[in-house]
Parts: sequence; structure tokens; C-alpha cells
Amino acid sequence: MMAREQDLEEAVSSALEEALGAGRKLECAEVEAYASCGRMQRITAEQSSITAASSLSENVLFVRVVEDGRLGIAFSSSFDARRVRQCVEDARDLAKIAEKDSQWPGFAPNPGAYPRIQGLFNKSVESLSADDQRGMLELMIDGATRTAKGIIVNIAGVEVSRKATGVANLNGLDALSKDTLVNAYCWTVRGKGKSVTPDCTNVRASRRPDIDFEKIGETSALIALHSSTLKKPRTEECSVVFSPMAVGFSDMGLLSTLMARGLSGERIFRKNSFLQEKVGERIASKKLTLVDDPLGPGLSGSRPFDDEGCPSRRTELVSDGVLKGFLWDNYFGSISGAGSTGNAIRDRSTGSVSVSPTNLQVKPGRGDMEKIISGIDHGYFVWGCQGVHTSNFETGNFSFVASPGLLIEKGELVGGVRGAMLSGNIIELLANIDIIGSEVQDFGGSLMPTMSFRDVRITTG
Amino acid sequence: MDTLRRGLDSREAKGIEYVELRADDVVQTAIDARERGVEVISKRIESGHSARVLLNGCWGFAVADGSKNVALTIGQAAKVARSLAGGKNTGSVELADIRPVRKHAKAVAETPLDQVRTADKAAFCKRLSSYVVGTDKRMTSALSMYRDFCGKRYLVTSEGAEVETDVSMLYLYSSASGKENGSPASSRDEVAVTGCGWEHFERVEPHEVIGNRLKRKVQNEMSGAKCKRGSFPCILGPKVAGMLAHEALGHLSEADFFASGAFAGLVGKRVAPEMVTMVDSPFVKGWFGNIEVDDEGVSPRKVVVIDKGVLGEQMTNREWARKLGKKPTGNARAESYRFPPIIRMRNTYFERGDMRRDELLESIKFGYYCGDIRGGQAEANSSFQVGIQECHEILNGEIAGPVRDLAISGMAVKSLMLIDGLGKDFGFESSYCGKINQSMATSDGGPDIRLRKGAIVFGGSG
Repeated sequence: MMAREQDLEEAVSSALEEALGAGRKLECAEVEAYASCGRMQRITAEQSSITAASSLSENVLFVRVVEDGRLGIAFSSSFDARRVRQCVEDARDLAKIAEKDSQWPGFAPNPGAYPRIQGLFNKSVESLSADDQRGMLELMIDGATRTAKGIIVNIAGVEVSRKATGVANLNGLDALSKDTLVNAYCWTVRGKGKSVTPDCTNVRASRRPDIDFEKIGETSALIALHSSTLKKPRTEECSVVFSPMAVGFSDMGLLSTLMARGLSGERIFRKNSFLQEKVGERIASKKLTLVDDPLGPGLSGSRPFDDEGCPSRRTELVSDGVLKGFLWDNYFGSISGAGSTGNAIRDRSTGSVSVSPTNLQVKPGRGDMEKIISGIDHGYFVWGCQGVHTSNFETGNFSFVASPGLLIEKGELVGGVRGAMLSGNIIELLANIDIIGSEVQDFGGSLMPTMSFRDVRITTG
Repeated sequence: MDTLRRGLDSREAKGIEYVELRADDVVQTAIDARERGVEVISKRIESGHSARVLLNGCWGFAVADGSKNVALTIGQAAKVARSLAGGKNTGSVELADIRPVRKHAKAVAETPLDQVRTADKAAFCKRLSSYVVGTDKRMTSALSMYRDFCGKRYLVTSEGAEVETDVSMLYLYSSASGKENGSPASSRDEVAVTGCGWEHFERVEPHEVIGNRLKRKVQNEMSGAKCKRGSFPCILGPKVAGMLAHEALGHLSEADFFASGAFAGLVGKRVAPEMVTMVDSPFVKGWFGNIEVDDEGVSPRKVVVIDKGVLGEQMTNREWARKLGKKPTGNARAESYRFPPIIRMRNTYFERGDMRRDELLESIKFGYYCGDIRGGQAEANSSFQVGIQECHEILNGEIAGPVRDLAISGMAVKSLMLIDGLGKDFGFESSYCGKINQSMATSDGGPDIRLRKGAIVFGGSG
């Protein structure tokens, strides 16, 4: 049986309590525990056919113990009391062999209170049946396959999850929250063999089941349809429009990849960011304002506290093109003197903490995507940035393939291009922002509009 | 294993066409060390099980922590599978017949990783980072990220497969940054082996070997010139050739991606010059993608993806083998019990040719030699993008100066036809590959591969 959200919160609370209790009993100097308990149901389709359903339960407990500036970490997928105590003992034992960090600032202090954010938990998500979820996926597949003949939904899925998360430490910090999330993704192609289009992916995330599933499939298929008429790209410098996906979806997005890394306080402290020593300088066109805002009601990237239990807050990063500041966790924020901005994220493979944006947002401008495209006489439309994760985060140099990439002629999308490589430096590119779109899309960690740039360097074979 | 067996006998498992139970009991050690000291030292205990069932032509999958209540997990998987029955667009999955494997796949580590003290592993990582920074003043920082996995994985199926696998995997990602004349540069290196113990760092790749290799890559980037933009003749070294084999061609030959990919409809047709043969193998000594049994209990076999230039077989799981009317290849793999098995590569490589490097070089007046990778990505239409490190210009048939901040791209189906030389030397790269949110240990490699102008686009950034 699936646990209800109350059970999830109770499970998290008791795991945290057990961990701190074990730490006190072992007379550990400093103990911090992070626990998360989630339930997800996923229904997936392959080759336009619904073939699998999954019911996933996930418990994660991370324990950090510090003795005399020495940090040990242990984590487990079980909240069983014996396993929790084992975790604390393991972390303590590892702390004994770790090296002393003379700058260790201690775990996060008790902030007293956390921001209240409306709309993170939606009851109607909890009551969704498997039939409802299957219906959502069917809508998405229908939306795609109805758009044009020959569309194949390679992979599509709808995920519905509920999760409770908590952090506690011996400083008295005690944070607990719960949320719901609906994720939808659709990856279509059109054509066959050598004429097949690139992967045309569309995604959306929401705290509520209010996603327009049909539209997700339809948009994904429209990109595949446009892309299936082949046009030849040129080596040139010209205008390029980036879709919201290409601006800010995870590792496919230009800003969600390069700016997320560049703005990390950890990189600034280690002196390996292209934004090093640029606070107060103009790093982009006046049109760009960029914030990290985890407080927006109902947004899928919002949260009341970060993975160390520090309160979330809005952080201004770029204002009218001028760099204002960076993102920090408790450790690097403390030793650099900047203070935490509530941007700690737990590394699921090591249990350690690093810095990451929570909900990176470009301030919307004017004009929808169609209007921006219609204003371009000759240029390209980028739906995804293939390989942008191989950029150089110390210099800001990037090079990626527009995939899918479409040719714009006289304000119209006239066909797909293959192998158009875009390269340059992110700071130089941001100086050439032409238009920022008015509509933003929520990808669950970023909220991004369409953006167009002038004089972008394109290389072809 | 007994708990899983009892699950198969439970009331919940009765009447279900196929039940597959997997469990992990694995401990991971993770250490991150910079030149100044060890920053992360952690231990993870991963223990749990999952059930995958096939019911009315649909898969149901459920995961639970620990090893108790396997019957409940089977019941949960059956419940979600039933929820799909009778719906629109609902699938009709069937499985190819196999002879289920019963086996204990044993690790052959001389010095088992769980018998090496964590403090010694941490000291090794710190020694590596210190060595890189301490032996070249231009190096500004170094990071060594060590991971090992020790324990057991279990699989039982209602068809009689029973597999116990000893897990012993080590992985080391190291990176370094340097600065010369105010210009920053960085590079990376990976070491990854399956089924081997700590002896790898004592005998095969001690810290000096890894450190010197890493420094050489950073030095190359620091002193490199910008690359010219456009298409040029080039030679892809074994690691880059391996990336092409894996990312751009291998994924296209995974049966689930094949049907709507750039290779669809081309089986039996020429896709490359006759000299080109590319395979995916379940075992190559010392490689990372080695398996003895796949995660559906199938005994794995070698797949010849391109046979003397002609497109051959696809990699399959049981579901896709049935659809294609073929014998399963044993490519069903799951990252852990938390994930259902999907079609994954193992060790993917181009077979070697017969040319010496100087013979490959001599016909190129201007071009590039691409030695190593910084990561890459490919798509179903064979479009690929690869970040390159250790690149050199080729001038008048000889290796010339280094090139920095380079990325290459192309359409692999077009690039393949433009291969015009294969070297004798052979090498490989081991790493993790991501597909549908699962990370998997794989290796890929090949010889030096020479490609004509038009095959690869060079688009150096900056």
C-alpha cells in the first residue's frame, strides 16, 4: 500500500530523531541528518504504446558527523532504527580518519522560522488514480500523433510523486516539509533511417495536475514536423532564437548549464568561475535580470529550506545586466563571509553538500515565441543545446549543436538543420540579447522564457 | 536469495505470467580529495529489492527497501501492471524464450576493495592530487574523486533464473586546473574497472601514472592554440573513436532506439567502408562494462553491430528480441534494484586495422588529431557533439602543436562512410553512460580512425 503524506512526514521525523538521538548517545560533537521519504508512480510509453507502470518508494537518510573539524558522512536507503544507528556510527568512524578542516564553521544554525510557501503540496495529486495518470499519458500521445502523419512517440511518461523532506542538527535546527510534483515528458521523432529528425523533447513540471498534456505532445510533434523538412545551414553570424528549453532546461539549457555553474559560490571561492571578480560589472545586456527565487507560490522549484536546513530566500544575481552576487551554501557562505543564500544541494552519490540554484528565473520581457520568430528575417531557432554540458566553466566558452535546430527565413520556420554548431563565450553572447519573451515555462528548478540573440557564430561542415 | 525464492512461491506471485525479483546488498565508499586534503569521505549502504512482473502484456515494477515483504512488493507491481490493462495505446509485451541461467558470478580481486582500509584509499586520493599540483607549478588545483562498490546482487525469476553476482567495482575521476600566461585550462581523467581489486592502483595505474597523464592533458590545453572552424581531415584517437562507437552508433543499435533511429531499415546494407567492424562485447579483460549474466538472467553474447561495413545485429533485451524474432543478446541491464532493466551497451569498440600511425598521418596536409574526450552527447538521428581534450594539429603528415577548448560534431551515419584508415594500435575509455535516468558502467574503444574532410565539424569555442 502507498503511504499517505502524513505517514511520510512521520517517517522522516522519526528517522531524524533516531539519528540525532544516536549521535547524542555516542557523544558526537556535531551531528546533522537529512531524510527524505517519497512515493512515486510512473507510467511510461515506448514507440507510442503504453507498456509499463512503476510504483517506487524511496527513503534516503544522510548523516554527517563532525569531530574536531573532521567530517564523516554515511547514508542509507533504510529508516530501520538499527540501520539509522549504524549510519551515525559509520559517519563518526569516518570522521576519525578524515582530515581536520581548520575553517569548519559548524552546521547551519537554527533559523527559528522558515518561509511559508503556498501551493507546494496539492491534495488532488494524492487522489490521482492510475487510470487518471494513464489518461494523462494518452492525451500526450494523442496530442503528438494527431499533429502530423509519421510522428513516433519514442518515449513518454507521466510521473506523480509525494515526498516529505526534513533536516535536523544538534544546533536545534529542525526543518520539515512536504510537497507533490507532476512531471510530464514526451520525446518524438519523425521520418526513418537517414532522414529521421533529432530527438524532439518537451517537458513540464507542476505541483498540481494542471499540465496541458495534449499541448506537450503537440509541441514536441510540431518541432519534429518542422525538423523533417531538411534545410542546409551556413557558416555565418546571425540571429538565433532559443526556446525556453534551450535557455534553461537542465543540462540541455544554455543558462541552466553555464550560469548555474558560473554563479556557484563554491566555484567563486575556488576561483574557477568565469564570473570571478565581476560583481558590480556589466556581464550582460541591460535586458537581463536573473534571480534565484525558491519562494514563488506553487512553483515546482520552490522549497522552504535547502538541503542543510537553511531558509530559502530570493537572491538577485544579475540586475539589468549587472552582476549582483552568487549562490552559497552554509560552508562556503560562512568561510567566504557572504553567508548562506539557502542553495545547498545534497550530492546523492556521496552525501556531501554543494551549491546549486533552486529556481533560476530570467525576468520575462515582451513578445511570445511566435512573435519573436516572426521578427527575424534570417536566423535559426534552437530547441535543444546538444553537448552544452561540455562547456568550459572557467572561461565561459561554449560549443554545442543546435539539436533540434530550425531555419528561420522571413519570420517563418522553414525546416530543420542538422549539425549547426554554435560557439562563443557566454558573456559575449549575453551582451547580444535582442528580445526576452513574455511567457515562462516551469521546468522544476528553472523558470525560463524564449530569448533571442544577435550575431551568434554558426559553424557547419 | 532464499527470501526472493520464497517471494516466487507467495500467493501474490500466483497467476502472473512472469516475475523477476532483484535485490542488492552493496556498500559504496566515496572519497573526494584535493591537494590540500580529503574533503569528503563517505559510506553508503544500499539494501533493498524490487519486483518486475509481466501481466496482460504490460510491465509492472515496484521497489522496496530492505529484504522483507517481497510478496507485498510483487503484489504492488502486479497492481500497477493491472492498472494499464485494457487502456488505449496499451502495449502487448511478450518475451523471447531463453534458457534461464543459474550462476554465481564471482569477483576475482586479488586485494578485495572491502579489505583495504578507508584511510589508505583516502591517502591514495590525496597523494594523487598533491602529486599533480606539487610537480608542476602551473597546476593550480587537482581533485580526485574515488568510488568503490562492494557486495552482492541477486536475481531470481519465475522461469528459474538464479544469479548471485559479487560486486567489486572501482572508479576514479580526477581533474586538474592550471594557468599559464593568465589563461586558465582544465582537464579530466577516468579510471574504472569491474571485478578487480586494489591491486589496480598498486600495479597497473599507480598515482604517478594517472597524475602524469592528467598533467599532460592540462599542459596541452594551457599551451594550445584556438582551432580553425569548419571541416578538416582528422584522426580520432582510440578514446574518441570509442566515443563515436558508443554514443553515436551504439545507441542507434540498441533495439529500443533502433526502430526510430538513423539505422532503421539499413540492416544488411552498407553503412561504412569494408574495413569497419564494430562490436559490443560482454567481456574484455580489464574493461568496465563486463557482465557474466544480464539483469534478465540471460547469458550474454557478443553483438556484431557493423560487420565489414554492413549493418548487422541490434542489441536486445528479451522483449525486443521477441519483437525482432531474434535470440536475445543479453544487453538488459539495470543500474541497481531501484530500476527496471533496459537495453544497455557493455564494451563497445571498433576492431583494429593494420596501419601504423605515421601511415595514417602522411596523407593529411592540414587536419587534427583528437586524442581524448571531455564528454559528449548523441541523438537518434546520429547527430553527435563531443568535447575534446588532447587535440593536436596535423601539419604536412606530422603531429604539430596542441589545440585548446575544442568541440567536434557531425552526423555519424555520414561520418562512418568517410572513414578511410584504421590504425593498429588499440585503446579504450571506461566511464558511466546515462540513459533514461539510469547510469551504467560501460567501456568503449578502438584504434586510431582517419576520416576525410566532411566527416567532422570542428567548432572550437572562445
